[in-house]
Amino acid sequence: MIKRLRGMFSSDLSIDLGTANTLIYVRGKGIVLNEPSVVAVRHHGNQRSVAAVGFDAKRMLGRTPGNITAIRPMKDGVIADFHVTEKMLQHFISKVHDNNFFTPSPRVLVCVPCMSTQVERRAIKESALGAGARDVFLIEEPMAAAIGAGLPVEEAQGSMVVDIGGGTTEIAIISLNGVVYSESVRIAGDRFDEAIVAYVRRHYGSLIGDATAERIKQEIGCAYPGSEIKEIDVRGRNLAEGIPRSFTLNSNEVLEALQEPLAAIVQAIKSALEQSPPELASDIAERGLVLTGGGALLRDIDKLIAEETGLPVIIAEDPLTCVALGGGKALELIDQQTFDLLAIE
Amino acid sequence: MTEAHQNDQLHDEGQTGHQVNCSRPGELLKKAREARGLSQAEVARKLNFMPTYVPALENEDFSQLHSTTFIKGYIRAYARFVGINPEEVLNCFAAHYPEMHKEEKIQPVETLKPEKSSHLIFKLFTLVVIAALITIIILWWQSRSTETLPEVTSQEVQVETLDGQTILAPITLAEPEPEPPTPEAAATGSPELSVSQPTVAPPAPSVTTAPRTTIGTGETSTGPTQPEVAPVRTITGDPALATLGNGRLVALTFTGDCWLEVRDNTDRILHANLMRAGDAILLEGEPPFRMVFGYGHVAEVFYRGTQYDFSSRIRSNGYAAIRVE
Repeated sequence: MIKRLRGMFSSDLSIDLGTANTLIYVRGKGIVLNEPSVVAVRHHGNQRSVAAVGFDAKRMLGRTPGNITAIRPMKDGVIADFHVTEKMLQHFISKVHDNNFFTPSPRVLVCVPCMSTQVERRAIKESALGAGARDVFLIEEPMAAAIGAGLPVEEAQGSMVVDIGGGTTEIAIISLNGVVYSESVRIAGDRFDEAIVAYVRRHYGSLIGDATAERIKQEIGCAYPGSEIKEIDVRGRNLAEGIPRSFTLNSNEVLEALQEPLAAIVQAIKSALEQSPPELASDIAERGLVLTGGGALLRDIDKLIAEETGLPVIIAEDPLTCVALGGGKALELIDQQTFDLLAIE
Repeated sequence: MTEAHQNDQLHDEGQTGHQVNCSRPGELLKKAREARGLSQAEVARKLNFMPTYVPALENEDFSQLHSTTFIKGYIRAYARFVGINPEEVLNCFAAHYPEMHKEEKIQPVETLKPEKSSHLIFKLFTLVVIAALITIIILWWQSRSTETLPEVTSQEVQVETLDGQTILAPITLAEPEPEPPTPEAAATGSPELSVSQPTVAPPAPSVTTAPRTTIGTGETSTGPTQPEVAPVRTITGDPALATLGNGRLVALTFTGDCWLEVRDNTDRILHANLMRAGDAILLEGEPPFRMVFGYGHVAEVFYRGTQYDFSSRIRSNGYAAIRVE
């Protein structure tokens, strides 16, 4: 009853609870929040309290004193730390509401990876409820990504979407509002960063942090040879000497570093195409597959996939927000009959 | 092809009303492709497009290119392949085909600010209305339950008997009958203690009509335990006339049992007792008087020579609280 009353003062939300970033779409308003999924936790003896969330906490990653730990509570697209996720969601939900009278109690649509287990889905649902949601609906991420990218999901035509996020790469073939085939591999943006860190350690004998690796990936990373070569100055701790050293990386080296995770993603796409029914495969061959998620911003990744699969590859408009937008569009329709879009727990 | 193109352009101009100073997206792509010396087939092969897509894009014949998402995606891929800025071409596309551009677009908003003020006003208004309703309910509830009656359980009253004796008579509320309070009083043989009070009763007309009204006047002076109880007089004659010309007097008669409490303006309790059928009393105090009746249907109030009508104030259970002035 009280939740219902508080619900009158809350808006419906669609949350893309990603490994790297959390996006919130408010019904009727659009995307209002896009912050890193990072929480800084302060320890006082046995007690833990939240020191910072989002951008503030991300700046602390790898730079915290002993009593503060910056945590990424999501790992591989699912919850790794339940309580911290709940706190983070609570913070974000209250942030988008900006209301001092009542604690908000919105209806929430959360995106879940398509290959997540029932336990993982339950955990996401519970944490959203714990964060104050009145009702929680789940939608599979590739479905949300396809809707957000503007694919004709309700038509009797196959659409293929590849969502390369922070923790997982979701591949799905969708037709008539349903997922025909889906595949989720736990190789995505984070693995790219790890691969760069490993490459630098191996070839330069220097240790760099995840944040630096991410910056390298965003600035000079590329997935296909042949385009212009870019360079970046990087500073890391030299393992042999133990002191910080500066060195220069170029995009070909990054390409070399990324070979392994990229090959895994390409392999997953190929296996999805192998598994798809022939009619849908022909639709996809005619129109192409759509890339969404932060991984789609990696330079020339479309060229790589086009080369490897022989299909037209399209990068969605604004790939970072596709999932949240798609969730939002599903939310707009939630009171209508489109419940078949939603995932069951 | 070119004719189709021109038709398309004309149609487009008519629809948008204003021509954007932006070259056509198909032209841009075609020029860039020709500048690089590539054929349409080569582009289609490199991008894995169906062979018909490239001419369709260059001629802006979008009918076979599925939804806007795909058209934009193809334009972006094509532009990047021929080495021009894809955003530039897409801007031109958006300018020439605004209806297609908008179709898929859900406009993201950065802040909640514009909506906030009206929401705040609405919420404040709602809170104020709720608060007002609660206040009204509380006030109504309080007006329903009057202040608690003072506990008058028993008291001793100094009574002058007919033969001049002064006795202390205990009065208890729960007494079922007005028995003679003391054996001495009973010994007098008089059913009621009364002392003639010629000064109070004005020159009344002959009182022979009803034996009920010809009760001997009695006076009870307050005992030492309850000094605030005012003198009570019973009336002889017409009770209305008894109060004529004196604003400090109020007369009450009863045709049945009824609890009565009377206070005057100084909050002094003039009378608080159970009245029996046939009782009539005259009270003196500072007007206005506040009266509480346990069963108002059996009581009549006379003030300034007229009967005071309070039948509308009697509740369904007989209770009445009135103010006489």
